[in-house]
Amino acid sequence: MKWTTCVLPLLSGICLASVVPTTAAQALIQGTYAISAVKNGANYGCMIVPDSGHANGMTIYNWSASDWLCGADAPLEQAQWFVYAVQTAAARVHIIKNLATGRCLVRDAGGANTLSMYLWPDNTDKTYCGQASAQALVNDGRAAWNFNSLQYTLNNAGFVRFTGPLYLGQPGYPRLGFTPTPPTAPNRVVGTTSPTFSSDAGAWTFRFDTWPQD
Amino acid sequence: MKVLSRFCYVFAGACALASSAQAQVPNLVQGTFSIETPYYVSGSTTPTNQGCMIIGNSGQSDVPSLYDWGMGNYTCGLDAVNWQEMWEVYALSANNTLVHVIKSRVNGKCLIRGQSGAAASPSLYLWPTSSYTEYCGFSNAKDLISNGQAAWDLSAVLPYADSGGIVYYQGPARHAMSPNPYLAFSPLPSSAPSRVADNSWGVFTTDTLNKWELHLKSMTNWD
Repeated sequence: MKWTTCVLPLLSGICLASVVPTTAAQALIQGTYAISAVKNGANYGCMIVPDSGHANGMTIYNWSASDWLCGADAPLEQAQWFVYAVQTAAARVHIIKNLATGRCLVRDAGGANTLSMYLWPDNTDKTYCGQASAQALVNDGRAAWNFNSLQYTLNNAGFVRFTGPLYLGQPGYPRLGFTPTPPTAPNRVVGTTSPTFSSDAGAWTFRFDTWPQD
Repeated sequence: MKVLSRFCYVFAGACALASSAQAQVPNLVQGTFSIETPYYVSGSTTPTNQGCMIIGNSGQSDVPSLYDWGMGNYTCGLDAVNWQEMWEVYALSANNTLVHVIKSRVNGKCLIRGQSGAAASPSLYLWPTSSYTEYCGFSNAKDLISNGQAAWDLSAVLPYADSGGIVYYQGPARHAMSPNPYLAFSPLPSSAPSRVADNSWGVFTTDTLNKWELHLKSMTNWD
């Protein structure tokens, strides 16, 4: 059975005909998160952008200075990721943007298995990472993250947490991981590991936790 | 097949129907938002934005009100971000109960229904019980939910995408404590959106004919 009415009133006041029933739950995430990288049950630390957020690359790290997320004394922009959903007629993707500089997490050109922090120069509005439109962002694909495999869970403090693998494009496409696996968990040495893509990326999964609210 | 609930996504002028499998996923709203207030006069299917829910009196007020600055192209008529219009919204859960917290960015205080859930108007407050402001001053999520006054039911605030493709949320907000009244504003601004500060205040209502909704718009731009 499919419902044929629209509960959410449109701003235009018109709800058009039925369209595109979806068959699987799709994560829809917006907000500022710490993103932890987990492999074989071990939390290797948070995704961060080194050099106070100004480095070109991204890695995983834990400051181990406190019980806060990422072991930091306080929320640090280099470890905070602003995540939001973009929808086209055929796809829903998510953008992952670092709070320090507003740059997006982007796959490098040419099908590389490496990533950089980047904004395209095509548009002064950086809503779509500098791409001209939502469709252009989806068509390019390098900054269009698929969250459909993330599951809603709860962390020990009662906050909603999203957990699962991260893909670009569709599941089965390049999956985010890190290589080499850091020698200890959590990782306390910057530069010991780098993000990479592969068909399974060594089964890395990611935890999206909201930062404690000040 | 039992359908637990129903909703639709709206994008590019179309309404996509959700399957029953999708409907079983709890609706979660999380992020930092400005919040506009679409209002449906009885019988109308076309809302009018009455302004943003803000903390007036230069951020010193304890009760939210409606306002649009009318100065720029940003949300709420602003030409730059103003904490008075920014709200943190996030989900908490304990004992199989999912609620949302709505917190002003002006002072980190939570939007509550005081007087043990009987107050006529919402207000900002932090309990002194603990330093855990993420729980509005309670020690944990369970205590916040058990108390109930800072707990909101946003299960009808649903995602949709605007013409540009960015996903927002819209729908009626209810307080989580019985009798689950809706968040509304009174008196209705004399013009929409309201350009008169500290004039139209947050109230609770059970009126289902003249409907107020919240339209949550996420911060998305970093230039």
